[in-house]
Amino acid sequence: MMTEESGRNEQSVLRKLAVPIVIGAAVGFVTMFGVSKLTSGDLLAGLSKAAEMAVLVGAFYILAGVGVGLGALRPRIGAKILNVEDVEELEEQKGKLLTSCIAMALWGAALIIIALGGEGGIIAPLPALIGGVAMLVIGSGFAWVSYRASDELMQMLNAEATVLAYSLTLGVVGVWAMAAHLDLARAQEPIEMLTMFYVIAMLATFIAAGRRGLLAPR
Amino acid sequence: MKNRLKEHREGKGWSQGELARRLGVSRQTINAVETDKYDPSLPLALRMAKLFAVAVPDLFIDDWEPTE
Repeated sequence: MMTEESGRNEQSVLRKLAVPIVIGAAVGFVTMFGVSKLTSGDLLAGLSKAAEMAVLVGAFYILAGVGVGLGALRPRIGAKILNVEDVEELEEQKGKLLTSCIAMALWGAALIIIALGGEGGIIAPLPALIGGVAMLVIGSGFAWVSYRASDELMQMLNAEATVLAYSLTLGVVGVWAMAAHLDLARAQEPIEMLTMFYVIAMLATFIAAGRRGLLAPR
Repeated sequence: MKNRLKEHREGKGWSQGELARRLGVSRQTINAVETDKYDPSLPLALRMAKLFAVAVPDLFIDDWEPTE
């Protein structure tokens, strides 16, 4: 039989889940709509579907980074939308979260710059490569700072996500390459491969976090 | 691995945040250990045992027995 307290807890968990789901869905919709509008305009009309997808994935990385970063900077609001127990927990993790968010946003920007530097894009290839690599390297520097500030659970999670990402990459990109080599599938476009690395890295992180119970509502 | 961390923590009247602060780890780590989602490293297990003044096997339950 449900007690009054367990009923209240259930309601609180549902409320805690509902806010980020609604915000996530809204942000996802607006991002997809925005990227689709942008790429269907005259300026980016020549962009391939693969490059459009790369822009979309890059935009999600930036939005995720900015969203969590704003939550960390404004813990009272952040505690309502992020999966933390209370405001204090967010304040404790502020430094680590911020460096991690900057890394995500820079990595997202790197993908967008590269996508916009290819055929039909608006950035010349060499500046795009320099910009993309610079964002990737600087972002990795911030990720390293965040990693060093993490405790053993997060470092373990990072290692698990890396191993998982490697396996998924081999499974998806590797099998596709095998099929393409045997003329059983079309060859991957470089930007598709790059986008897949991003998607797989994100997916692996979510799987690793879920396995350690970090996605369970707090 | 099953453990009695929550029992010992509550016995001291500490929140997960308080225990995390004392051990120098995140609350997520304490939560993951208490819910059997994560087995801590040996140094952290030793620090936990020292903090509660118990032996590591009193905190972490392992049913393994050596065979002849």
